[in-house]
Amino acid sequence: MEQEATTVDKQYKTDFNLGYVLAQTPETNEVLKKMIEQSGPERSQALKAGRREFMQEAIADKQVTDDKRPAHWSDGRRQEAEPNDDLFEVRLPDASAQQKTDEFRQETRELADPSEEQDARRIARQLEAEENERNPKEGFTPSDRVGQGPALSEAQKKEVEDHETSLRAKNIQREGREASKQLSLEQEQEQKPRSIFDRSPSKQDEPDRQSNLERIRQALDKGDRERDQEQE
Amino acid sequence: MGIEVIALEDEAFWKLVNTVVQRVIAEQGEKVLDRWIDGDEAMRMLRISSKTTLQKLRDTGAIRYSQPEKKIILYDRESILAYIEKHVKNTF
Repeated sequence: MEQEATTVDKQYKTDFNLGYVLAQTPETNEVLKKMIEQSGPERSQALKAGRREFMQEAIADKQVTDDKRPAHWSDGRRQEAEPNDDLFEVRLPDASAQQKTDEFRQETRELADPSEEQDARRIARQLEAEENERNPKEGFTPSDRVGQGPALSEAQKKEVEDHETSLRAKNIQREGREASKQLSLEQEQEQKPRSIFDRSPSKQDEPDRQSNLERIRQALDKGDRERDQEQE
Repeated sequence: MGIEVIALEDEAFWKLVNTVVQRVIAEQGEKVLDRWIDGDEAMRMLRISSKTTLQKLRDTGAIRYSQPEKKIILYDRESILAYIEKHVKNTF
């Protein structure tokens, strides 16, 4: 293998180090840029090489930091965060039920498999729902968002009814449109000219075919009868 | 808002740069501008006289180096110190 010379020009070495050091802060980096502009090609090359070395190190360091991030940060973008449990905390009147739910949540957090975790969360929600049914809460809590909320005023009720009626009307209109579209499609298919290679029987050809068969059968019968008469 | 523009002659500019460098050295120590050393200095630090040994250390990744140009190789002084430190045998 070829061996390189071990001695490097002192000026080059100094400039390389200078570029490396000056690239480290934004202020000195500005000075470095001006130096690169002002100096000759050899010096600027050495300064740039030093700066490049620092940049590569910085990138490598960043990658290492990224690798140490938690799993949900691994792709560099923050994924959708889990809803804060405290926000959806349900105040249960029964202390034992609360404890039971907490234990269940703890177990759920400890599970590594996401599918298992989902199942556990679902069961925890069911448990909470059952508990709520048994001991209905007073006032509005976040869990009420799913089901029935606090009593609505007359105006709000009317607004809700109007909205539902308009939705129903829209649904009916949509169904009607779909049905007419389906009908027109069927008609188009029936009227479409048939290919000469298409041997499948069509609905239009069906009566003609029947009558043709009838005629052939009659002709054959007639022929048979004539033959019998001749033989006699 | 007025912008103050300072125009410097080439000589004055380099004088200013040298002043800045001297100040950096004074504040952070001389070694700050001596992190990247050439092969001779690396061999002196490692107390080796063979270029092949140096190359072996380089190829095995024992010491860090930078090769900005084909025939220019600079070694990271800190990595050499770390290499020496790594092979230290403590008293027992």
